Amino acid sequence: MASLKLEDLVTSMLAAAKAVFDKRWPDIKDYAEPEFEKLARTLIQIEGIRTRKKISEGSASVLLEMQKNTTRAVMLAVEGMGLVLIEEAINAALKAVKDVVNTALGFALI
Amino acid sequence: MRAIYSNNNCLVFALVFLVSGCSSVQLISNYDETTDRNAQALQRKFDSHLVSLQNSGEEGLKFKNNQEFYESASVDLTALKVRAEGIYKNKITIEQIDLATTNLAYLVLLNKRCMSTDKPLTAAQIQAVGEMGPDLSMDCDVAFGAEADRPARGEMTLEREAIPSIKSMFNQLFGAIMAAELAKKRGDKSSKE
Repeated sequence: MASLKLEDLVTSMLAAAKAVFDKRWPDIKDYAEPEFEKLARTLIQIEGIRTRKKISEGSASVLLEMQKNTTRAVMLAVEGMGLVLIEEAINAALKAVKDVVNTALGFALI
Repeated sequence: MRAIYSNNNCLVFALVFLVSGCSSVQLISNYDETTDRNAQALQRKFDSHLVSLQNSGEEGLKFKNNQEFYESASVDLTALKVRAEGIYKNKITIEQIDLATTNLAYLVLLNKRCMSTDKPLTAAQIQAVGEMGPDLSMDCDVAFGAEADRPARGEMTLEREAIPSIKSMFNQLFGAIMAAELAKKRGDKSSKE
């Protein structure tokens, strides 16, 4: 059985996340990169103790489920950061047209 | 050409009407200091407990000696969720707290050795754990994701080799809750560090 490699795992996770977050990636990567590395290290840790038969197959599968949940929580944090960026972009756009719109309408809409 | 220009202006105004209605748009809740502080307290609580388990004797690894910690942690997570549910547009944090609670349920199952030794978890077990949360009784219960109903699991021990991974996962999970909370401070990048 081929063992997991930290670099391969991190590279795959980063490539997948970059594709999803596209132009927003530079703002998110400072948080995401070290977190993906931590996720990969824990996966390797679980694989290591299972390969050395220090834990049962049942326990290993529980740890993997826990790891999936941890990954989801990290991705949710990334999603939250993305939402904040989108929100800031929308509000900046609204602010940019505020005077023009309010003047044109004759009352303060924005 | 003039007509197109005019139509575009109408579109811009319509869009502004749609997305505004007030002076700004909010897609995610505001920063909540209590959530941030309580998530940090939980991270410390789990980390401290798991570090002490790593260095404890066999007696310390028994479920009966950890049951009180699991009960307390479960109460803390419920309190964190109740608060999070009261905050506008806070779905992400609520989901993260649910994931932490599910991981606590898995930790309890591991400590009571309620899963098979030679087979991975089934889809039904995974679903039961997610839906029911931690089973804080002394028994293994199929309804909570155990492989079989088994009474009196107090003497069962947590596998010491698994503790470092469990510790890393809880640290990272609570760290993710804090990171999402800090991101909600918006604009003030220095405060996110």
